Amino acid sequence: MIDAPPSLLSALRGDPGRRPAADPALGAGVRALLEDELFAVLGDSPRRLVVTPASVRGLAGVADITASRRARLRGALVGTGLRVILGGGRPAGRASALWASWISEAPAPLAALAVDLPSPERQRLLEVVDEDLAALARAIGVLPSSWARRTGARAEVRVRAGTVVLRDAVDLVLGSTRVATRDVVLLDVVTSPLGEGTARLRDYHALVETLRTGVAPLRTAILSAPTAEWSIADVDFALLARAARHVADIAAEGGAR
Amino acid sequence: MSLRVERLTPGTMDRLVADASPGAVLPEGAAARLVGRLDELARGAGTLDAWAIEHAGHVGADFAWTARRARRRVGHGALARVRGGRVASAVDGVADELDDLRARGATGQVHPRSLAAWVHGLDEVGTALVTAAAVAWCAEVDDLAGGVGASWRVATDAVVRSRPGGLVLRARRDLVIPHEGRSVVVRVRSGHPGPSAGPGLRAELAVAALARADGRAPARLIGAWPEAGLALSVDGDEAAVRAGARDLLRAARRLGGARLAA
Repeated sequence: MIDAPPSLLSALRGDPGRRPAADPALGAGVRALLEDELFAVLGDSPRRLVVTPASVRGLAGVADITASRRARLRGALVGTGLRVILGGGRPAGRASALWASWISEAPAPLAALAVDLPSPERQRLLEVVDEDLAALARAIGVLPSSWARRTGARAEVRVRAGTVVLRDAVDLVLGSTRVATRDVVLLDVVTSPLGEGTARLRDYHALVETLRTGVAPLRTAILSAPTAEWSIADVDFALLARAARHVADIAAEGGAR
Repeated sequence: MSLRVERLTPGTMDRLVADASPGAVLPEGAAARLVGRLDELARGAGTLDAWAIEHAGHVGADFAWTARRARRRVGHGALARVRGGRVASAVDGVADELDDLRARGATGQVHPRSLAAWVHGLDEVGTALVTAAAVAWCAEVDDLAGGVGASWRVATDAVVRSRPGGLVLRARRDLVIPHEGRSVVVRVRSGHPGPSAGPGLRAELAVAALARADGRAPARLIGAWPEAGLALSVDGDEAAVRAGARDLLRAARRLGGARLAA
């Protein structure tokens, strides 16, 4: 772990001259480890499972439907706002415009939740999102145009002969897998304070990225929009093994919780 | 005819390009006969592409531009600018591409449902979302192409029209990689490959051969699914081109049948 970094992006990217070489064996080893962990809990069962960021955080079974709905909408809007920031826009104070843009391309179930939201509740949500985005813009700053970046990066990796699906979405991926050193860093934004669940999510992102590309990322981070706190971890075998074990735990409990 | 499925790791693209054999050549007159037959079966205007093959000839719902849908077109233009040395980064390339589209949209001389008209009508938030999506697309494609040396170029789609107002055959292409006198075509897709992804690729292979004056198929057609970390590829041999042509005929028949029923 890195203590008190001077700024989020500089801590994430670090010193390019000190990055370790990309190790293809690490990616292959992690896949083998995950397959073994899954076999240990599932055996030969043909059961199909889907693991999602929500199941990794332990949120899929949240009992308060209203709170869950607000949180999902807030998360989606903040994610869209981050894309606006990284696309050169200024979303702070423009949550209404953001809402209109987001709803035009939101997945149908989420768009339906948004449409059903009572007007006063929607107004409160937009005020909170405005505050989140102002904090985010301060934390992110300006990315140099030369940095390769992917926003809203989705992944769907299948393991155990396709019966276990790992779905993921990371708000920002910086760097490239085509260089000789480990260059990729991951940043995800959450709308809750940091905790055990977000730490598991941070590690899960690194696991899925490793399985997807065959190259372990350099670092993985989670930024809490409301508190502007972040947690960064260097990615190594121990972190990836921990994430693989957690996926196996979820599989043992029945997949998407 | 072989369909290969591989994990998309650094080095995969390089391998797939290096061991591609020269593509098959359509016999003389075969292209015109096939296009004529497809037009006849489809009974009118329409488009046949990999989507139609993968979705059993069903025509998609009404199209509307979104940032995600625009990213490929805008990203292609931006990457071409970067590759041509006109701009230093994908971010600058996307900004220039959007400026050009906006200017074209402002003339009013474009179709109201065109990308230029849509971009012209975007507010700051919408523009930023398209920028972010297109820059991400550029990073994805650049990552893929990075392993195949310096010779790759951004490709335009292969399009064959049976006649004015007739059937349009379209093979989407994102990259063309020349290698020892052959060309390998790469198509970048979203999500995870479905069970019909192979037939979709073969149909695109056939259309790519039909679109060339000499009737030569690409040496290999690679479908890259970066989100799934997978690459599917078909060799441009005669069996694959024939299989692609058969799938196109089936899809045209369904299209024509649906028209008759309507």
